Amino acid sequence: MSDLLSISPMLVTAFTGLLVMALDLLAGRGRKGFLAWVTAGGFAVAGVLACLLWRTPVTLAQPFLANVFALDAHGWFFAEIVLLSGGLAALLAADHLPEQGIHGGETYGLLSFSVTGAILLIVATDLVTLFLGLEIMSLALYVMAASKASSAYSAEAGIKYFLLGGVASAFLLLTVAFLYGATGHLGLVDIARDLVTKGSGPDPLLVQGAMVLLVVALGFKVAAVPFHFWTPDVYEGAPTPVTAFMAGAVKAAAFAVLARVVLTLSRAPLFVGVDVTPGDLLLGLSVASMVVGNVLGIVQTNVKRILAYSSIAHAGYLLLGVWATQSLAGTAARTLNDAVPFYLLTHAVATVGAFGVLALLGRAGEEDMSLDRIAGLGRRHPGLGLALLVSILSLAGLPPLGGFLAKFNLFRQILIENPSVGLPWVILALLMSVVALYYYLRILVYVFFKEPEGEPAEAIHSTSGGIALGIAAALTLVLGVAPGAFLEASHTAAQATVLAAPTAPAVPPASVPAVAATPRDATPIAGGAQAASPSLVRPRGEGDAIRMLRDTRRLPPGIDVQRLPAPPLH
Amino acid sequence: MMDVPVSWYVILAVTLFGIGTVGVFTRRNLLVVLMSLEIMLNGVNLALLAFARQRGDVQGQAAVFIVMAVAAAEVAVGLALAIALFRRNGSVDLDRATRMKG
Repeated sequence: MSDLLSISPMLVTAFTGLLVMALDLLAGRGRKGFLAWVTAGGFAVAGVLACLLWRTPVTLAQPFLANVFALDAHGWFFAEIVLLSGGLAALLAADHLPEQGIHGGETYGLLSFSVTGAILLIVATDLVTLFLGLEIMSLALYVMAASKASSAYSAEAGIKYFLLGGVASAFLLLTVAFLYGATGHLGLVDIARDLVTKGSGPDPLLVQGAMVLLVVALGFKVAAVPFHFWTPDVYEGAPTPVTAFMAGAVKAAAFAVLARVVLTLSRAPLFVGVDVTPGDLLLGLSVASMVVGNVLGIVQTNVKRILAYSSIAHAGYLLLGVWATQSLAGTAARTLNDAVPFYLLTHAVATVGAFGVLALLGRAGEEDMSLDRIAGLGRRHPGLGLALLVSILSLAGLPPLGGFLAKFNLFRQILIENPSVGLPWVILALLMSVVALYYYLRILVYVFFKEPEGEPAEAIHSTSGGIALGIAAALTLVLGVAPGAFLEASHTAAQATVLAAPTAPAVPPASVPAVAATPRDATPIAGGAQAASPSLVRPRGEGDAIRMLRDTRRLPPGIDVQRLPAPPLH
Repeated sequence: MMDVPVSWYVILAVTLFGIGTVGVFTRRNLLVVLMSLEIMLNGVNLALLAFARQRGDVQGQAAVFIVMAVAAAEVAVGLALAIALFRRNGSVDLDRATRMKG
């Protein structure tokens, strides 16, 4: 029973989906708006439950749950981002969908299932569960993207997303198969432990190939260059609230899983004898995303596409954050860069706000969101203009909004973690942020200082949409002005991101390349419980693990810890 | 059967996966692309089964069942998209479906 309570946020969102589908059948045609409130209410309940569970950590009793879920700060933080974006997207959809000729209520059900899948993906520590979560999230998204039957763009968006998403899923699965082949495990913690204790096995090519495939698959999901081709088309073609959900929630979930999987596995000496490491791959993706996203953003004229390229560029900054941690995997960094979860939160809120304004524009099936059509919006609809202003400035990273603080924090953390190596890339990121100002400010110039040349996009009247925009804008401001609690939460989330895999190295001076494993007697919780509450078993600091090892085993100084036999963890 | 080393299975699996990948990116008929996607997933299944058999472990075999179920769901969505595309264009040719560029 307590296990059911522990996973209740996921259950609540899943049941919300079922409830919405049932209510959809009962509701009369053209009266589906209340479903948005039911969906958002369900997400709110799930969000509160997640908060409560966050405050009172629980351990899962059933082994089949404990081995596949990690219900920790990392999971709940990203789950909150997903629930928030999902709820706002539902409220935005209430009046947008009928206006665009989507009269069924199925979007809300699909949204609920997609959110469920995203949370499952975030909390999964087992590769098969992770794959299931990814597919539950994605399959619902493919349908939502294509749900506007009257639009050729929507169908194209759905098909492109489906095909490339299917390929990415297949790549992820091949990763699973290779890691399983190399270690015989499907759980992340077990795999990481085996990779450290036993090396890459008889055939290191399997593990190396697996890591490359993993970066490709997740690079697709976070829309990193060169796996970004689907992004502008899908963002443009999909119904705008769905785009908001994709850009906010799906990106956060994908980054959560990317950080957790890559960092957990990167404790192992994966690429022995090869010059390229997964970290280098991440850096390559990051630089390419920052440059391509920002430069191509300049030449776009459709606001949805501009925001899509902005989303690609933000993936680049975030990848830099993950890389900065990863590049130190062998030496000092024990946890994810503190700023990454906070950055994803601010990005999700701002991007949902920006797409939300677009969702409330365009009557009767109009879907063209070019710059010309939003010209003069600030004069005609000051409320919408203001919401767009706040969101865009936050995305651009200007004070006093959340985006500024997130970006500042991210770059600062990178420099603290890895000053010499990180500096050139941080400078590049800053330069690219300046480039990005051009297209962000261009949107605002059109909105506030230009008069429309043709027929401007008319705003639709939407109470729920207005409320959603208000929440997004207020939160963006709060994240910039009073971020204390959020930064603290981000810190704990980042602490929990890397699963309690075997301890990585390094007592100074680095005479110890890798510690065999966390000794059982030094860390009371092991095995299944380890997956359930990694924050409890994570060694407290870099030197601590080795100190513990030395204490408990009475190691004389100077002995190579790596050569010790691995104590059993189960 | 027992004499076949596991590496052969893996090579076959990766070959199937590669054929599927090439198919997805070169064929223009949505139905053929869906088939290619299935070949990719079945290549993975073969690899999982080979590893599971090598280790005498059931985890991999269980994973294959899950993958098959998910693949079926994926095809259901893919075929629904194909129908939507056919209703609109009168064909399932992907080149004719592409309007957005850049």
